[in-house]
This record gives sequence, structure tokens and C-alpha cells, in this order.
Amino acid sequence: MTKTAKKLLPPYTVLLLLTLLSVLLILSPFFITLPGIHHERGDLRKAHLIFRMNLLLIFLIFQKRICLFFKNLSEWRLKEDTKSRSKVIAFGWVLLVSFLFQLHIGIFHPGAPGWDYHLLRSGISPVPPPGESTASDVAKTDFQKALSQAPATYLEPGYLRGQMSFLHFKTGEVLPFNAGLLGISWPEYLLGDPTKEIKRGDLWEKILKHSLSHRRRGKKFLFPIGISYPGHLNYPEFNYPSYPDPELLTAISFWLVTVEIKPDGTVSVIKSQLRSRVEL
Amino acid sequence: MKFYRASDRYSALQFSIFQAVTFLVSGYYVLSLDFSVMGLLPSEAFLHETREPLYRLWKTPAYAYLSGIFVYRYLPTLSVSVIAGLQYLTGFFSLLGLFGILPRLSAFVSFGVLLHLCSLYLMANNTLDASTTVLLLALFILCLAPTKSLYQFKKGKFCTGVGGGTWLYAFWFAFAFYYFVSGLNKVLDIGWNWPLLLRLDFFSEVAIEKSIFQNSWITHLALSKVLLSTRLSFAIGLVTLLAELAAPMILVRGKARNLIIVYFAVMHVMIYLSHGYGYLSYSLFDLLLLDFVTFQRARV
Repeated sequence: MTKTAKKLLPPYTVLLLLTLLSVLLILSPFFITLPGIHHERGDLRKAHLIFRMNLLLIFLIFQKRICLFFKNLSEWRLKEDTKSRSKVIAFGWVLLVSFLFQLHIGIFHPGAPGWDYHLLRSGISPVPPPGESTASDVAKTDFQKALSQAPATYLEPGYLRGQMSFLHFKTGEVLPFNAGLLGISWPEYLLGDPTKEIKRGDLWEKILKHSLSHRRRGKKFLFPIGISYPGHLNYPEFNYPSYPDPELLTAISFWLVTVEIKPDGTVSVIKSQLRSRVEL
Repeated sequence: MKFYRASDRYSALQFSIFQAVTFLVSGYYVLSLDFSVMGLLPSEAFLHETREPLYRLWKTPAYAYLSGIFVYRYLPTLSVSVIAGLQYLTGFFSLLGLFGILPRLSAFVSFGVLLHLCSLYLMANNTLDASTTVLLLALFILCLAPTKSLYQFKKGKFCTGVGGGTWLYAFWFAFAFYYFVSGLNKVLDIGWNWPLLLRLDFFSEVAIEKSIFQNSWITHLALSKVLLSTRLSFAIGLVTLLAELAAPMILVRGKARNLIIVYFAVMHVMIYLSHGYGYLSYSLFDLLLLDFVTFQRARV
């Protein structure tokens, strides 16, 4: 090892620190509750504990190779740019610690648990689900107009149930909307589950009026939606610019709708059951 | 193992591209999305955990202090107009940084305000794409890099950056680490057999069904139709896991690295089309990992 490299980043110091950190992390599940997810496939904390123990083992077995790696790393760029040395090393450590301790630190987070979708199942059934339609001011044609026909050509015939939501205006118009209009990711946690009971009707009103006023101008914020940066969760956009003034909103309603997917690739509404409604 | 040893001249060129893209994406991002809706939420929305399981990981004390969100335990939350004003401010400074005017100050303001806005959003039990984290990481790198490494428009003259290679590679390192831990999470959480258990075909079928009601995330129907294959789901899972675990190869020379990078960029576009999850910054910053230095050398 060259003197410069030793001076820049002593590999044994790094190895020692990593080992100490690993020991700390092995003990961490007993006093840190952060990684304690009970995932459907087992306890993530347990999985990470095993990983940390393996990490420690790897450090101990491959000491020489790891030292060589850090020597190469330290000679790589840091030798040429000594001013940035300490900042870069600190930066690397922050990333490592944030992952091992499962911390979200704004510029880095350890990622979500793996998804595999193995529990998802098609909702199409050969017979319609039980229950009768609810009488209301939402006409069958309103439901029919809000449906998208295109996906039916990709699906087998049968009956399918899904949720739909509507805005009711003073003008008598009943028009569809979806959670994309709310601008928050999981509204049910704050605003109540629309399929059961809605909480905070005042908040629904404020948020919907605020977002609809932007959407009527064809925007989410400054740029037109067509050229906007796509957010994380992207919903279909209804023709919001044609909607009445948000101040004319009188109610919102949430429905469980059953449709029939016909062999000719068309979809028609069979029944609609009101799940919740809020007068604004 | 052959690490990069690019000369400062080429590193500077690549770092300048990095600076321009970071400020461009930052301005584009902050002026496209509406954070001001957070101003309508009651203060308790930012303080109580309501959604499991991710928020136990995300809403940590470390994050609350680093992002400055802890102040809302003592102060009222920001109003709609203040949040909108902060978005315009960030957009303005991003534009300044893009044109090389006060780039360091622009990086600090853009990073600080955007981090705070994103944190506010996350603390209210929302989710942001991981590519937003990558954008914040890129802005953070610009904050850390020496002023001389940033291109600047000063006293009527355009000054190119000098050096910056170290910080460019620090970004590469973080990016490689980020992808690697994504693969590692899959192995730790599900197991090595994750590609076998991955059922994109199940997801695609349900996504097509849901799109009838227009009440869920968008999906590209033709692509979802293609993904209705168990074998293809396995192949995508296998390639993705291998690419993520091989992500540290981004740091060393080799033919495979550009292939991995292009795969990641395409993968995020595909996720957007099939799942409706936006990861635009990811794809853009993926392309910044490409070895422009070598391309330049080949031309010389």
C-alpha cells in the first residue's frame, strides 16, 4: 500500500469500523424498532438480522480482499482530489448506515420490501355478485359514460366489480372523478375509506375544490398536464376542463359497480350500489 | 478491477451535463406537481402514522430532523399560498442554476426547499417515487461539489467547470448502491427465488380489469397484454434481479455497464407504462451514468 493511500483512507480502519458497525447492527433489532415489518413472507427484521450476521462473517473471512478493495477505491479518485476526500468518505458512510439501519434520510432510503404480486387474482366471475342496485340521482348512463370500453377486448367475458366515484354539481350534472384529483396518495387513511364510511367531509370539499380549480385549467400546477412531469401514482384524467365551477359542488358519492364484459368486447353496467355519500 | 481514471477535462464535461440535467429536472419537477394541497391538511396529518408498513421505515426521527419537518410540532403548517410560493422559488433558482447563474446558491436553495416540500408530502402519509430521492441526491451532490467544478455565467462571461470528477463518481457510487440495495431487499425479503414468485402476469390482468372503471392507476393495455405471460414475468424478474445485484459494475470499466444502465432506463419507462408508477428522473439520471468520457475519447 502506498503512503498516500494509507494517509487517505486506511483500509484497516474501515474494516474495523465496518466490523464494529456490523456487531452493532446485529444487536440493533433488540433496541431499534425501525425495521420491524411483519411481512407476509416472514419477519423482515429476522431476514435483515441473518443478512447482518452474514455480512460480519464475510468481513471476517475476506479481510485481505476487502482491504485491497478499499485500497483501490482510495487510490481511485480520492488520491487526485484530496480536498473532497473527507466529504466523499462521509457521504459513503451515510449511505451505508442509512441502508443498514433502514433510515430514510431524504437523499437516500433503503428501498421498499420486494413485491411479487403472487396474491393478486382476477376479479372476473361467471355469475354476477349478489345485491341490488341503489336508487339515486346518478343515472345508469352516467356510469356507462364513465367506463372505459377499450380494456374489455383484452378480457374474458364475465362479471366484474369495481369502484367509481362521482361529483354532484348544483347544475344537476353528475360527473366522474378518481383519487388522482385529490393529489394525495392514499386518501382513505386521512379522509376515510369511501367503501365504508367517509371521514372529514370538510377536507374532501377543500381538497377537491382546490384540485379541480387547477384541473379545469388543464394543469396540476404550472405546466399543462400533457407535458407535466408524471407523478408517482398516475390516474386516468377525466375531461376536467369541461367540468362546472368547483364552487358549484354539492356532494360526492362512491359506488360499487358491477359490469358485464360481453363476448363482443363491450362493457355494460349491471348494477350500482352506493357505498357512501357526503353532502358538501 | 479497472476503476475509471478520467482526465479532468472529460470529467468536467460530464459533470457539466450532470449539472444541467439536474437543474432542468428539478425545475420541471417542482413546477409540474402540486404540493400546495398539503396546505389544506390539518397539522395532525403530518404527525401521526396512519399507513403501514412503509411509514415505520420512512417516518423516522432522523428524517424529521434532517428535513426540518420537526418544526411543525411547534409551528403551524404552511399555507397553500406559501407552499405554492416555495415551488415557484425552487423553479426560479433551478432555472438560474441551469443557466449557470449563482449555481451553488441555486443548488442549495433548490435542494433545501425541494427536500422540505417532499418531506412534508411524505410525512402526510403520501408516497413519492424513488426517482424523486434520486433527484434530491443529484441536487445534494451539486451542493457538495466545489464551486469551481460548476459551470457559471459570471461577469458576462461563461466559465466552464474544472474538475468535478470526484463528485460525479460519488453520484455514480450512490446510484449503484441504490440499485444494489433494491436487489438486496428482494433477496432478503422474498428470497433468491423472487423471479420465480414474481407474477407480473397476475398484476397485468388485474390492471387491465381495473382500468375499465378508470378509478385506479393507468396501464398501457397493449403492453399489459404482452405481460400476461408467466415465462416473460420470470425472465423480466431474473434479468432485473441480476442487473440490480450487478449494479456496482457501473463503477468499473467494462462492456456490461452500459447494457445494465440502458436496461434500468428502459425498465423504469416500462414500469410507468404497465403499472402507472412515474419514475422519469430515474430514467433520465440512468442515462447520465453512461460513459460519455469514453465516447468522447473514441471520437478523439
